[in-house]
Amino acid sequence: MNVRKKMVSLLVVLLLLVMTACGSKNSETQPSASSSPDNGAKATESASPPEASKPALKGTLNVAVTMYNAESGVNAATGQNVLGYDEMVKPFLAQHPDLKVNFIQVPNKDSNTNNAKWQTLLLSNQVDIIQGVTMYYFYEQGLLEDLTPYFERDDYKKHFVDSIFSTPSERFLSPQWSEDAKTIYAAPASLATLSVAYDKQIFEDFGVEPLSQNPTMEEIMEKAEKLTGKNPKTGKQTYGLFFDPRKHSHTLLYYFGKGISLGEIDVNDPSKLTYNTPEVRQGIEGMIKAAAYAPPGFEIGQGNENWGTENNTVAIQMVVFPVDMLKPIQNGLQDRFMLTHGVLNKDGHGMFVAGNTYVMAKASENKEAAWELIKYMSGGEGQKFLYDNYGELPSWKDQNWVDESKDPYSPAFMAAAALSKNAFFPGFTFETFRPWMAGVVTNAVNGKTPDLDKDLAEMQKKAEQWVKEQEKK
Amino acid sequence: MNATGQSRVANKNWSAAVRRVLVFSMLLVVGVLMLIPFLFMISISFDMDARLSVPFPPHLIPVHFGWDSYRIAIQGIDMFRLYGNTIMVSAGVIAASIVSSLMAGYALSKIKLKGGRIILLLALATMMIPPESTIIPVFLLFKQLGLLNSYWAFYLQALSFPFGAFLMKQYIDGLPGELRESALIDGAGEFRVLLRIYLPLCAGMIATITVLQFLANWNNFLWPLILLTDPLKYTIQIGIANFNVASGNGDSMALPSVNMAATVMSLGPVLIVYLFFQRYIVESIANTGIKG
Repeated sequence: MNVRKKMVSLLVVLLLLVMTACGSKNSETQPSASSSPDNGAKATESASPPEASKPALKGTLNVAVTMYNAESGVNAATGQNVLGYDEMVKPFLAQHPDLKVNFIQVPNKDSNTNNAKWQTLLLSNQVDIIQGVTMYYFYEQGLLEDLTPYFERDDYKKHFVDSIFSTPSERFLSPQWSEDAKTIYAAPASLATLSVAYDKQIFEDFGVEPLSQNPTMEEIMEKAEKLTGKNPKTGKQTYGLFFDPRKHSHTLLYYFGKGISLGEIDVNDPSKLTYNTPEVRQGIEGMIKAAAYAPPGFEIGQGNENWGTENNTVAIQMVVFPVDMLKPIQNGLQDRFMLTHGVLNKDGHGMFVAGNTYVMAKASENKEAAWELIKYMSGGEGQKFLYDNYGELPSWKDQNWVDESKDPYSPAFMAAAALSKNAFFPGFTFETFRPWMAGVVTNAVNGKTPDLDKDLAEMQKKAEQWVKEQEKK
Repeated sequence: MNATGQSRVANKNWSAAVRRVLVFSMLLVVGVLMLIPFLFMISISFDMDARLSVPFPPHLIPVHFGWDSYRIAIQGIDMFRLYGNTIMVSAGVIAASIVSSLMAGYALSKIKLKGGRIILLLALATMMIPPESTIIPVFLLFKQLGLLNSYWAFYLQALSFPFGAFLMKQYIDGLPGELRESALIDGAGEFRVLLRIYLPLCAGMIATITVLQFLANWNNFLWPLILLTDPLKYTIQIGIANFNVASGNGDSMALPSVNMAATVMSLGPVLIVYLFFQRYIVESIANTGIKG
């Protein structure tokens, strides 16, 4: 009896294992790792462009929204009620009464969490459109639709500011970071860029001329030196500049070098990716020198807490995004905190222009409707909606809704974006090189002189190893 | 008692008093250090200057006191529905964990299965695998079972709780086996023995497992985020995570005051459960001899 019980139990366990292992046949939806012959999935199944005629849209679309509210509610940053995507698409749905749109809110906690959620949505075919950020990783896996035929059919690219589709591109074009990228896999939802800002009050207190519209690093360093010390008017200790090496050291590398060239990723010749160059060395040495004008604790992001308030003690912010200028507006200090048009490279370009994105799932069963909805959301109406409710800068060329009286920094950011062309920073920069640079700056601040010859040679070896590893992926 | 004896007693009293003062002082310092983060959390939640960043220098008493962050937290996410959802998930997970731990612990402790020790060791070994590495395979499994966007995925996963089985086994080891033997002699089956005799005796450990699983589920963010797509089913941590804004370079930035307000509100049920069950936890730890 005892033996029979054991045999029955064993059989049940084996049966469960077999059932779980076999499962259903739906696992073909899992993409294979090698589905990207040119570092990006080609439009194979949908190679033929969609039809020119537009039948009535019907069915259901599932849209995952990450950076904004899917449903109307409260904007936590401002405390004001804001409309969500459910309101944005109402005029569109009024034209297509047989079409239904469901929204999925993806909490924007951090990039790892976002990626995990997007991955599962795409793998489980639960979504047609994702409003996200950098989605290239999913395009590489073959989970996203190639939008190039749609863009070409509707001549859609011309409606966006030119710089957003300039190569190399990280967020919209494939292959990523290639000067020859032609495949469009994402449509822009907004415009993002960065610039340099300063506190006019501190400049006046010290009797220093304000920064020029496109300041050079020579100008910034010269003025930062003069602005570091006891404020003659307030008596407070003031610091010439602030940057966070953990997040901004690659940007300062670009600033100091008036642009930066790290070579290219060539799996046949890894040495083409170059980190051990005089440019890089000059940038690191510049950062070490700039550290003398930064507040204590800057290396871990401290010392900048009062930016945008009356108690601010930092004269120049080396890297600001639009969200960093919310505080001056909220405190009514927009006449005190000023924005330049950014630091330019030798060719007159800024280093970063991007935006949030809309992508289409390759497994979407309603692609034509999904494309029309993407066009609506990324178009004039959608971008104006995001500006009105979330203060997002538009990447739409023919925009006339940016109101300088309410939003004094938008014109400067948009001017900076118009001049920008993305600088090439491969993944190795963010995974390894930037944390290393942050460590070098921290050590230098604490009196440890770096051996840049040795360290940069070591970094170069690691970079080449990283290139070889890309081939295996 | 002579003078020497009196002096000895006085010395002994004095050193006991000094020891008590030292111990209390240390406990006070450690207690205050542990309380400070909570106090700051509450302070920031009421600080109107902490909307976008924590004010510097930090201060415990807000300069501009206000309830606005709580208003935003309640209006921005449907706090009470999130509470309800999280309680529903937690209740099911706790029930499943207790059932499986009790049965497994009883079987491993009293029934003396051949290979039971190895089974337990193998089950415990699975705890060394980081949960993040199994999220996608488990997700795909539940997708094939048609259980995405359903709370049943939480309940079924909770049936596998090796740590609970281990705790329960240790606890039941301390209970007399004679109770089982005499019940079996009287004709009771194993299930009846478990439910009628050992279950009431395991109240302390059941309370421990309840608190452990409640805390784990209440704070669980990634798995509910991956599994659930219907916002009406979201749990509390997903709601709190909505209070981030984009920082411009693709990252997100937490909004301190609103985040802290939502977190303070989310702590309420946790404190209630812990305060209610703490007596049982202390008793069960004392009984099993498991320290720390």
